[in-house]
Amino acid sequence: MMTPLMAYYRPSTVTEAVTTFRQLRQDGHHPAYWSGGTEILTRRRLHEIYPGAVVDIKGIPEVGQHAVHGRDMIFGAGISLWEIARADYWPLLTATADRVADHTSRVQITLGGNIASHLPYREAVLPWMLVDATAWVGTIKGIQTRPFCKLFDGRLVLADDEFLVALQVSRDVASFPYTSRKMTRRDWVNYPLVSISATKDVHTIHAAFSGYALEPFRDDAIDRVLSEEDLPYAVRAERAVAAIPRKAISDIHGSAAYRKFVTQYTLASIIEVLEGGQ
Amino acid sequence: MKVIGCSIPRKDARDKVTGRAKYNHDITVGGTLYAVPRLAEYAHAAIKNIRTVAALKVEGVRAVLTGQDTPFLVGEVLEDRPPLAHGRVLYWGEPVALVVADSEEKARLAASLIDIDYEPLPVVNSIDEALKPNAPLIHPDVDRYTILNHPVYPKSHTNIADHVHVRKGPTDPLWPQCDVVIESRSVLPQIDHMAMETRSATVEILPGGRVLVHSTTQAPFAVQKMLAHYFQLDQGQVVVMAPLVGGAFGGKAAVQLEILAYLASRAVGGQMVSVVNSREQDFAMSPVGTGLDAHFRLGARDDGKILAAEITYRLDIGAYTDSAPRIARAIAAQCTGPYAVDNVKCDVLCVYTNHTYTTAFRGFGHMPMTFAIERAIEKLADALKMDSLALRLMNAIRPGQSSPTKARLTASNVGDLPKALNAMAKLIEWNGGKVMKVGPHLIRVQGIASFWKTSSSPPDAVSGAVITMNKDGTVNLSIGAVECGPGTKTTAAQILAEKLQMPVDRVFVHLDVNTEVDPEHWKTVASLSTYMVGKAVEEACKDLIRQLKNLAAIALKCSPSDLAVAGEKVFLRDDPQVMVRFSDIAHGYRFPEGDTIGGQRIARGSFVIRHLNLLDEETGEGRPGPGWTVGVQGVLLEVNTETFDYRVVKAASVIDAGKVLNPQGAKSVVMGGMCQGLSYATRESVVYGSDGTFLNRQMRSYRTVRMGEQPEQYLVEFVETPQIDAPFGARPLGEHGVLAMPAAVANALSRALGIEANQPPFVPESLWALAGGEKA
Repeated sequence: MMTPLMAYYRPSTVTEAVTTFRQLRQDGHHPAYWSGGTEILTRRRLHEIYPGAVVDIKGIPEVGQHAVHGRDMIFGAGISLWEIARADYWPLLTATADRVADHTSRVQITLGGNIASHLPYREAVLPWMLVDATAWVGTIKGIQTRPFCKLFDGRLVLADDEFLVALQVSRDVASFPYTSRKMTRRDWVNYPLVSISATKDVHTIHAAFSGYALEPFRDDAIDRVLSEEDLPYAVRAERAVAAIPRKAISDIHGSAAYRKFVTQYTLASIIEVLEGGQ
Repeated sequence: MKVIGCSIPRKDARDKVTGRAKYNHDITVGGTLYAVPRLAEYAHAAIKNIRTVAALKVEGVRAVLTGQDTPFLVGEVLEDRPPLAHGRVLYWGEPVALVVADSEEKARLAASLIDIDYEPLPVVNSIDEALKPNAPLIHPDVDRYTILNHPVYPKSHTNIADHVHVRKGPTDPLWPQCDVVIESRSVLPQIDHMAMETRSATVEILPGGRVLVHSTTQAPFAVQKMLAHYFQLDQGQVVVMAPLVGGAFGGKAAVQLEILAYLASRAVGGQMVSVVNSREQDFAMSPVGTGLDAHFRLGARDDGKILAAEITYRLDIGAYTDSAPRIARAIAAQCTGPYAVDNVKCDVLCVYTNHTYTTAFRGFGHMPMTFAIERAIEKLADALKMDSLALRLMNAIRPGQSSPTKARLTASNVGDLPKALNAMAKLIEWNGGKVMKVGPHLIRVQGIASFWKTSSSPPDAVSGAVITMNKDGTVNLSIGAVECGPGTKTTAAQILAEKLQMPVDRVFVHLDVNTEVDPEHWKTVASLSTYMVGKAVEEACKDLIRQLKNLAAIALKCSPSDLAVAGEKVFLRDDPQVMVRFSDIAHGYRFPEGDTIGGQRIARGSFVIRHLNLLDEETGEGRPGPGWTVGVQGVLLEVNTETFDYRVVKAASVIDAGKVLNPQGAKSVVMGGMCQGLSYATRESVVYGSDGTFLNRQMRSYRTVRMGEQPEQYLVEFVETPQIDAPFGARPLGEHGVLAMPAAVANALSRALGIEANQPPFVPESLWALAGGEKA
C-alpha cells in the first residue's frame, strides 16, 4: 500500500544529522530519525504519525559499528537485530533480540530502533537494564557518552534532537549465567505477555521485564526476592510477582491475572535454570 | 491410459511456485485511477455531517462520493446494505465515503482529510445484546426491504434477519422416554478469511456501453448479474474477468468492491478505477465469517441410541445479511450432524449485530455447526459412560434413513461414516480418549469428531464446458469455475483427458475466467466444482467424441459406431491400425486430393443441478444438495497441565471421497483445510472492543498458524464409496478438511483437563480460566 511521500536525508556525521534535524524541525517538517524504518512505515500507513522528513542515521560510521574492542563490546544503534544474533557477541542479547518480531522484520529492525520504539515492549533493551553499560548519544556537539541507567527510565530520556548512537558494555558480562524467556499468548512470533531477561552474578539474580507493564522495568526488590536461595523456586517466584511495583496490562493478548500467572511460573523456571548448577 | 486416480501436478503449479502467476492487482494499466474508502470509526452512529472540502482540494483528487450519491440498497438475498453508509454507520470499518484520485497515495491522503460528524448510538455488541427486549434496532425497516432471492423471513421490530425452522417427528412426547438428556452450549467467534491476496476490483465503463470488471472473485457470474441488476445494464454488457485467486475461502464470493469500483468509475466519466483493500480494510470493511451461539438438548436411550434433539443456532451475521440466510439454511438442513435422529426441532436465527457483516466461509457454516454438534455428542458419551467413537458408530447416519429435512439418503448420495470411523480408530490408534501421562506435567490425549456436509446450492445452479481443438490435436478447455486453490482446473483437465484417453499435458485449460467467453459456472463455492464442472466436461467430451467419430467415419469410410477414441487417434475397434490422428481431423479432414470437409472441432457440455428444492418455511422439508460427504477427524494433543500450553502432535482425517481423482491433490487440499481448522481452534478470532471497535485488524494481532506451528504429523486417508451420478463417483472434498478439526481439538482438551472447552479459540489463557484460573 502506498503512503504519502516524505523527504529523506542521509547525513554522514552526528553533527550533520542533528543540524539537519533541527533545520527540518524549524521549517515545520516534523522530522524523525530513521534507523530500520519498520515502525515509522507501519505507523505512518495507519496515520498515527506524519513525519514530513526522515533523517537516516545509518550513514554515520559510529551508528554502524559492531565489534569487540579490547575489554569492551560495542553495538551500534543501526545494527539489525538479525545481525546481532548472527554475530552473537553477547549471548543474552542474542537470546532476547532473536525473539523480537519475525525474521523478515528482524533483518530491518535495529537495536536503536527497538529501544526507542513507541510500543511498550522494546525487548532488546532488557539485557542493558541488567548491566553497567555506556550509551553513546548523538548531540549537536557531537557524540557524548552517558551511563545507560541514566538514559533509560522506561523509555529513552533524550532531547528531541538527540539520538542513540551506540551501546557499550564490558565483555565480562558475557560470562554471567543468563536466561531469557519470551512468553506469548500462543505463538512463537507475537508480542510478549511477558518477556524476561535474567542474569546471576555470584549470589544475586537480576531480572528485567517487558510486556508485563506499559514499559520495561527492573526492580531491586524483585531481585532480592528472586535471590533468596533458602526458599523454594516456586515460593520465590510467587513472592517476586507480588513484589512487582507495576500494574499488569490487560489487552487482547492476555488479562492482567493471566500475565501474573505466566510471569510466576516463568520466574520459577528461570531461577531453576540460573541455580541449576548448585 | 489412466489419468483418473493419478497424482497429476496442478496446471497452475509451476507458475505459482516461481512467482510468475499473475493475480488481479499484479497487472496495472497506466492511467488507472484509485478509489480509497473512508471507513467508519464507530460501530453504530448517526452521520450528522460529512465535509469533503479539504479532501477535494488535494491535488489529483477527481471525485469524492458519499452515501448521498449512492442512495440504493444491495444484497445477495435481502437488499439491506447501502454501498456507502447512508444516514447511519452500522459497523466499525463500514465505508462512509469514497475518494477517487490519480494515485492511491493521493486518494488515501484525501480520504483521511474527510471530516465526519457522528452522533454515537448504543452499540449491539453480541447476539445476546441483539436479542434483548428493547435492544436498539439495527435495521428498523427490516420488513420493508426488497427480497432479491427467496427465501428469507425477517422479523419486524427485532434484530432477527431470518429464522429457519426444522421440524421432524414429534419431539415433546419423546423426552420422557430418554434415559439420558444432556444440554450443551457452544459459542464461536467471528473469524476472518485472511486470504494472502486481499480483495480488489477494477472497473472501466467504456463509451460504447461495455463495462469491464477485473476482480478477485469466486463468483464472476454473480458479479456480472449484480452489476447488471443494480445499474440497469444488459448482462452481456458487463464483462467480468477473474484471474487466479490468491486464496478465497468464501470471502471472495461476496460482491462489495465491484460495486464501489463501478460507482467510482461512473463518477469520473467511466475511466478505469481500482479499489484495492489494504489488509486492515480487508479485515474490517469486507465481510468476515459468521459467529455462532448454539444450544443443544440431546436425549438418548441408555444403550446410546439418540432419540431426540432440540437445537438452536444463533448466528452473529454482523450488520448486513449478505449470504447469511443461505448459510442458515445449510446449517438447518444438516443440523444434527451425520447422525440418525428421528425427532428434531431446530431453529436457526440470523442475528444482526454492530459487527462487520459476514459471508460464506470455508464450510458454509458447517465448521461452527460441527463444533457445536460434536461437543454435544461428546457430552452425551460422557453422560452415558460410553466410548465416544462407539456412540458415533451406533448413531452414524446410513442409507435408507433420512436427513433432518427428510431428504432420502441412498447408498449413492451419502458416504459411509461407519467405515470412516473404523478407519480413523486404526489410523490414530484410538484409545477411547484416555489420558496418557508422558512427563511430570505432560499428558497426551486424543480427540475425534465427525462431520457431514452437502452443497446447499440454489436449485437452478448451472455449469458449462467448451472444448476447442488445436490443429495439432491438442485440446483447449474452457470452464467458468475460478482457480482459487483446490486445483479445480486441473481436475477438469484430468476428467477430459480420461474421457478422451489422451495425455493430460496435451489438455490446456483456460486458467482465468472471462464471463464473455467462458461458459457460466454458478459460483466457485460449496466444493461443487468437481461435480458440476465435471458433469459438464463429461457432456462436452461425449459431444467431442461424437464429432470426432462422425468426421473420422467419412475419412475411414465406415460407420461412426465402428470407431473408438484413444491416444489422440480415432480408429476401428476391430483393427486399430485403420485410424486417423486427432491432428488429421481437428480442423476438418483434408482428402488426399486437397478438398476438405468439417471444420474446427468445437464441443460443449452443460449441466444444471437437479431435484433440489427450497426448504419448507415451517418444517424445513426439502432436499438441500446432491450428496453428503462424510468424514472423521482426530488429533493427538500434548498438554502441559501446569502451564496449560499444548501442542498438536498428530492431526488425522478420514474422508469418504467417493473416488479419489488426484491422490496428492486431494491430500493437499485436505491438509490445508486441517491446518486452517487447527488455526481456528488454537488462535483465531475477530476481537471487538466494548464499543464495537474491530481491534485485531492486522496480521500482527489476528493470529493464524505460522510455519513451524503445524502438527508433527498430518495423517490423511480416504475411503471410497462412489456417488453414482458424480464424475467417476467423486464426492465433494474442497472445504471438508477444515470442518471437524476445532471440535476434535476441543474434545481432546476437554478430556485432558476435565473442562468443557466450548468456546474457541483455545489459547492457554482460556484453558487456565476454565480450569479455575485466578481462583485455583
